[in-house]
Amino acid sequence: MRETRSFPEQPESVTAARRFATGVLRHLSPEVTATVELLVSELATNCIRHTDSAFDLTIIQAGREIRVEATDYDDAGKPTMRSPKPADPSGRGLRIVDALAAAWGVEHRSAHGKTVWFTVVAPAPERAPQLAR
Amino acid sequence: MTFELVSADEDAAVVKVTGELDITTIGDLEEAVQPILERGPQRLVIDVSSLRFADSSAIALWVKWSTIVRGLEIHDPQPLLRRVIDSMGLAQTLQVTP
Repeated sequence: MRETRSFPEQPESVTAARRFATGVLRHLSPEVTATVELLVSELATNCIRHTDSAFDLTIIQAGREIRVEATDYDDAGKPTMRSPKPADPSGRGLRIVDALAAAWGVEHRSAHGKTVWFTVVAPAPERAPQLAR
Repeated sequence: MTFELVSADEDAAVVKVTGELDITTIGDLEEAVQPILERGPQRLVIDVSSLRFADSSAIALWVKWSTIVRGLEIHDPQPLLRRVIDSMGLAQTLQVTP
């Protein structure tokens, strides 16, 4: 399963990107969907705050792995994960991605822009309990 | 996002936030709470028990408030939000209860 949608450069796109992701993944457990929703919000917020471009969100599911890619078309440099002190208000978006994703990274696939991606792995379905004979 | 001032006296203000907090709504919450901060309460309790969604935009605002009000308290976050606050090492700064 692979779905892509483009979002314009406006704050409302962050909310819209979450709705898109939770809609595509509505068949998954609420816990997995909630995690993906949060991480999509972080990537989309970074696109709006730190780039001058629209962005594309791609959601790929292969088995239990969900991969989300946010691609912008801005020449701004590589995103960095910061280490804010407890009293620093900002700088936690990618830290949250790092804490909750199975893996994440940044790719430069063209001369302009970049793709920030993460994966989340849905837990294996529980086996049906054995019936007593 | 909706915001409700549940109670306020000289010592403490309790505000209940519902809906979703992200880049599009966080400014409204900051604006709504500003007059309460200006009264200089000893404690500010943010009841997030009915908050459906919050991302780092919300965490950033709460951390900012924690530098203004000594007794900031984030009350009853959903499990994912609690996990995020814990993993950022902010459980003490944001005084998560219960």
